[in-house]
Amino acid sequence: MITARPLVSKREILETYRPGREPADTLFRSLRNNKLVSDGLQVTLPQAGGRLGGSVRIYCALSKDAARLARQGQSDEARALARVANRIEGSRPVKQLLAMIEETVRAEPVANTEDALASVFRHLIGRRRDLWKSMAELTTRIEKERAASKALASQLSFYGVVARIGAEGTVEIVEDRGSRRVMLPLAELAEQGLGQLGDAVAIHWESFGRGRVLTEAEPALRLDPTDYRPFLDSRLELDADDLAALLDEEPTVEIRQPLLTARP
Amino acid sequence: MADAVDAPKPRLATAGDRAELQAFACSLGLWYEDEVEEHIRQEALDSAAWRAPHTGHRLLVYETVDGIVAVGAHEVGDLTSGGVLVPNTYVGLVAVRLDYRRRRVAVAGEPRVGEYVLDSVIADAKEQRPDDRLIYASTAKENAPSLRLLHSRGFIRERAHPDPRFIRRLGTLPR
Repeated sequence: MITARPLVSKREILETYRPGREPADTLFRSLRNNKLVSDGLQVTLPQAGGRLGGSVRIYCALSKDAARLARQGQSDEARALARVANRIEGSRPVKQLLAMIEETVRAEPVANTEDALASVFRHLIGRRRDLWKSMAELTTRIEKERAASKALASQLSFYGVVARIGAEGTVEIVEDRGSRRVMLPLAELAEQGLGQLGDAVAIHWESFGRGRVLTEAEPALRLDPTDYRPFLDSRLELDADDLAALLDEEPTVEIRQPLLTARP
Repeated sequence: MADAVDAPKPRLATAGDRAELQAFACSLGLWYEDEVEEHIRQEALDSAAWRAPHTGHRLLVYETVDGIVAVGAHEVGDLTSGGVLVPNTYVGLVAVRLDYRRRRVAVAGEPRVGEYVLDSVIADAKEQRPDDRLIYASTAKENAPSLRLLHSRGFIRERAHPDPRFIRRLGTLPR
């Protein structure tokens, strides 16, 4: 099952509230003061060595939808959705999820930035099998709230995986539970850390009227128990010094059987 | 070499191996062994066919008179620096059938079957991509035999894995 992430960062809410503009704290304060987004939850980020490295706030994903409604001038509906988001943020699955997020960042400290937290979601949270139960409960509840909101009826969502990367700079995304296909520019997906074969993607379309449509792509979660095999996950980023040191050292691996393997 | 087995013969896996792979048993019930066994039984063949054009994935099966007794796989891993792919080999899989576990192979040095398979996977990767200098694999931190195997074959550097239950082991290949 591919689904949207249940928790998002302040930056993501602001990017939905003012697409294409640099996120600004003043805008977010205004949303908060007017109760157009939820209260959020604090996540403590330790630095290497176990010292506290600060904290960031994360929000129920419904706050993004509330921000969208606020931009559309539907303030009452936005406040109602923010209240639902607050309730979800106080729920048991979210508390479990938060505890696991903090456990994960303790195991692999991240920089004290909101972007880093989004990165934690993309690269860690979605891949912990022990998170899936909490995740599935949360995402199911959030999807039900979205479906129940008449104000969100003009928004369409699509969940799928990157199935093909075209030479023309496009990416083909195939629907998770269906056969629809969507083409998007690779460059736009790459901005979100997406664009590799198999990446789970959520796409949201929002009508702007008179034929104009806003398309928003974001990393999604795969909650199918057979989807992720940690031993096959080769994603590894080395900093330049680390790489140079490795390449500079004497070989540690010996080629013992150069002719054993049958050629195809 | 009284109890040593004849050297299992490696070849690329084919669709004709599906039935045998679906019955492949390499787990004694430990969670990290279950995951590998499940992958081999349900996904490895299709995954290899899907990945091969993109990553150079090679799924190797090792046969004796007893059939497929081990499985190995390698490909170009997603190892980057500054966002740029670094030439590398990722060893995705080394699995030995339960009845061949810990047995020695009747070749020079008498390696265990697991060591023999890893040696072969490394050799095959080097043959495919002679310029690769970095080679790495992921294993569960609890999987002491796998950690010992990787260390014995020169995967001596450690790096974190996105899943905290796992660790990466890196080695450097000769030019």
